[in-house]
Amino acid sequence: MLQIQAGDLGAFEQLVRRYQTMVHALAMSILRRPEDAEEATQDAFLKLFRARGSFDHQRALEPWLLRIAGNACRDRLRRRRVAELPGVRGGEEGQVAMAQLSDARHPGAVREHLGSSVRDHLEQLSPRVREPLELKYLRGYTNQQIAAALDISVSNVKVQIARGKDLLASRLQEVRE
Amino acid sequence: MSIREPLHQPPNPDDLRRSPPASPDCAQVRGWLRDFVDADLEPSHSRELEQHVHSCRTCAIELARTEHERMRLLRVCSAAVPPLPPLPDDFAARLVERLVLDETSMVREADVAAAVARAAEARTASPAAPRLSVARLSPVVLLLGAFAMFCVLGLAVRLADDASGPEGLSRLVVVSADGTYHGGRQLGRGDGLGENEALRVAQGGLARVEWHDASSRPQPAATLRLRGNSAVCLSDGSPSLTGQIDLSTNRPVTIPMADGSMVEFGVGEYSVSVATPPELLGDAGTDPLASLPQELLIEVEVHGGDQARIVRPAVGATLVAAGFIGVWQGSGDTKVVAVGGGIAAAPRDEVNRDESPVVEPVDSSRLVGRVLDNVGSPCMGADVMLTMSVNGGPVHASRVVLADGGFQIEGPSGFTVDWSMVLALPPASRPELGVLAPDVYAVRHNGDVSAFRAPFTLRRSLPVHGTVRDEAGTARQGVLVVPCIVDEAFGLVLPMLAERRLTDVHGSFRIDRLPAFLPSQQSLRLVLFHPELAATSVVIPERGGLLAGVELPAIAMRMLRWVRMYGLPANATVDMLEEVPGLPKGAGLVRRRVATDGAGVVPLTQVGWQPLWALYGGAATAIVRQMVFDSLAGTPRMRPAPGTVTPFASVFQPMQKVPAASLELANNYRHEHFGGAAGGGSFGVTVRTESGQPVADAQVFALGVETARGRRVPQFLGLTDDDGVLRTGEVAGDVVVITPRRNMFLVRAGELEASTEIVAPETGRVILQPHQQPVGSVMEVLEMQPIDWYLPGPAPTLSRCVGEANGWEVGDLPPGRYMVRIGATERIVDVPSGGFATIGG
Repeated sequence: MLQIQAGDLGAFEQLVRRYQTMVHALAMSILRRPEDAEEATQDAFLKLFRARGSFDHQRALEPWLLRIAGNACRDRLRRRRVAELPGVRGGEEGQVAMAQLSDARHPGAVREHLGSSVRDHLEQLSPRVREPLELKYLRGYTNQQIAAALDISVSNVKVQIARGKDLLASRLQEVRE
Repeated sequence: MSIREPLHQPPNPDDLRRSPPASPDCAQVRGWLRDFVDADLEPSHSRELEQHVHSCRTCAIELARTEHERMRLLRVCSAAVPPLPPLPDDFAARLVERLVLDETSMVREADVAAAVARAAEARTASPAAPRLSVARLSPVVLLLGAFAMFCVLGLAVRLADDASGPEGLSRLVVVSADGTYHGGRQLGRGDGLGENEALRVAQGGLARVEWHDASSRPQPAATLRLRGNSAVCLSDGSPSLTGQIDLSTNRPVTIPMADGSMVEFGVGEYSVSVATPPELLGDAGTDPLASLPQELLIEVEVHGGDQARIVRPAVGATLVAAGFIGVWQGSGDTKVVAVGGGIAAAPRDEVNRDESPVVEPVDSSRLVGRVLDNVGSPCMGADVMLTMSVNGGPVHASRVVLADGGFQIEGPSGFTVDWSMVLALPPASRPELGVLAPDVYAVRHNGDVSAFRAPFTLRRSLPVHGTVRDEAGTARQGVLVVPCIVDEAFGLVLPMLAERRLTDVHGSFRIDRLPAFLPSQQSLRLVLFHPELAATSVVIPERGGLLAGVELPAIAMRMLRWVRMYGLPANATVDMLEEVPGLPKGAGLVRRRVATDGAGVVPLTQVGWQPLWALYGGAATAIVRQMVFDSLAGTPRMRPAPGTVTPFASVFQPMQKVPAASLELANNYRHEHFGGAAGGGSFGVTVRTESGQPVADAQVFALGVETARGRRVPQFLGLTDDDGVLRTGEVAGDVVVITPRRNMFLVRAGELEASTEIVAPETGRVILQPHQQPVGSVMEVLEMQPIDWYLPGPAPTLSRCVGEANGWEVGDLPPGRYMVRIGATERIVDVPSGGFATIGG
């Protein structure tokens, strides 16, 4: 990182190669569209390079990078939402999650989904619940990495993961019944 | 900010309601389960949890449920989320390009001029002069490094007229170095080397070096990892290698070897070994190329990625694929050998490869493979038994796995096999591993070397603990417990006699090393024998599956009953053969010898509760007669059924006596007999999925062959190739195909043509609904009998364990209609292709 701070583009390119898959996986989990994910991955590394002067050498590089990457993805998501759905404001994920949680307790409310596939069930989870699940069990992120990327505490990561498991379990159970 | 951490993943509220914690300890452990299965629990808590579940059955079940939940989640995620689309290969290079374009304004023209001047000075300096060290330069000069890349991108032509600038030169850049020298000077991170400059790594040292070639394509072209006693020198812009070097290429490159040969690498991971006399190393002032002998021994190993092409002027080109090593010496031929055949170098993770065995190119053909343990490490000391079909006849071989996990079978030149039956036993020092049950595996070829497509893995096998009681509930000591693999499709039994046990004074037994998983349509059974009790058998879960940790219920054995026999030959010794319940027809018997009086009567004797046969005559001409009851009043009376004289071999399979017991079991498996016509012929089977995709590695059996004793046994013909095709010669009788997805099909003898196409639907599942799940039982056995069974002989019984841990679900069932028995309840279930049927829905 010292080399990058000194402006060494070769070292920066190495860093990009090393972390690009990890950042790209995060971007796909949040943005869900390959073209957006690739651009957000680029944004993340460009932001890192430009902010290299503020990096604290006493701290680890990876959480810092993931935090930057998470912010880059959320910025892009916000811009996309504004472009596509001018009426939608941020911060509704929690309400969606709660609504879905209560749905899961009232099978009648989700009857229309019973015939849908497992993929639909995962997609119907709120991003706040789905992203930690995907990052942990599909992309191999640790709880600490997820916490850094999504800018939440490790405890919150665990709570969201458990909630996602409960929701999925009850939905799959309903399909069987 | 105060954060109360660590918090654990809260348990599922439904699970807590269904099975409330019985104690505060249980409640605490429940709160840890999800973190535990995710390997996120603190070690001290993990130990506490492990101790608790040993003594708490309820929590053990909840742990199994939680593990099942995790596995299901992994399945759901991988099925539901599309794979990560790849980033462009040049993503990083394009990003840097964009950055340079964006940041151009940051570069002052004076700094650019200074950078050009310093770079020119560095190029014209003497070879012995210190190289440019990035790490030691000032930030201003480093900024100029960025500018150098700017030049590479062709954006600075207007600023630097020098056509032979640094961007046109090949160079080596040290990324990390330990014990690494150039001309007697120690090298460090950031040092660079140019044309005809050599980098040497002393014994025990290690260096990582980037090779930037002269092209304008993304750099570095490759990263080299040099181990002790290795050297690299740039010659005509390419690295010349000596010693042991790992190579990771970012794009196709060609590297000349010191003996005049060329190796064309693709994108991948490779190792190159060039044997060098030790006196060369340490001679720092000498050009290493000048001292290299012409008679070199060179190996090129492909770990992964694209194949390598070895081009030798007098010999020609040889392709080496991933998992193989190209070897040549002097002017000899280029041999290709497989990794793991005792020839490969030590595993890549080892820092020092100097102790790897020396390669001796050989003229013979060989079959090689690897055996790994449950964590992917070489499983040294495991026994591997193979049976191959060579020129129509079976060839048996047995090998002990070496330290690198490899084993090999050598044969005469030209000896090749397309598949082999493999059975692997873990070493005695690893009782936690299960045996690899016999199955057939495909072999791939590369020159004279054949190799299995993937390493064999001996998986972790949970031991079976059980207790045996009689009808009175008394624990029985001295009961013989014999684990068996039961092949339900073909009605065969493979007893694991080495793992048989006697129950102790508490009626308990423990058996290790049973298979963690079994091939299609096979199950694990324990056969129990005691001279005073009726023989029985129970099905147990696979030892690596979700139910492996569930405690077995106590096994009950019935007492024998007294009977009177008559109608037998007078003054004769007659063997009474009683079938063993639960095994395929005729695959197990208990032999009891009785003596008749002058009237052909046995006044009183003890027998069990299964069908009974009286054996007359010697072994070769033996005939049997079934015994039937003609009165159950008082002491039941039995006599031979009239007109039931039957050859022994039409009732019982060939038997093997279990030592120290009057128990006999068949000893066979589905790949015991090979057909000799595979590999070409007038008949062909093509297996496809419903979507038209070819099914490779489907196993094909013929059923028409009768043994000398009149029994029809499966004869293995071979595996389908990558196009889903198996060609074979004349086949007698029906043909059975078993796909890798555990489905089975029958092709009738008359239907087999020059090209018979089979469409393979998916297997299905059966799920037991909650109200059908037995109260108080954590595991139940579903006995499933296919209706409209299409193979010769009686329909088999598929015994499958279900329980909470596997979601009361049975999978891998060929679609069709089944009679399902749960305890005393029977019902008919239609198993769909690719879906599931519920019982009790």
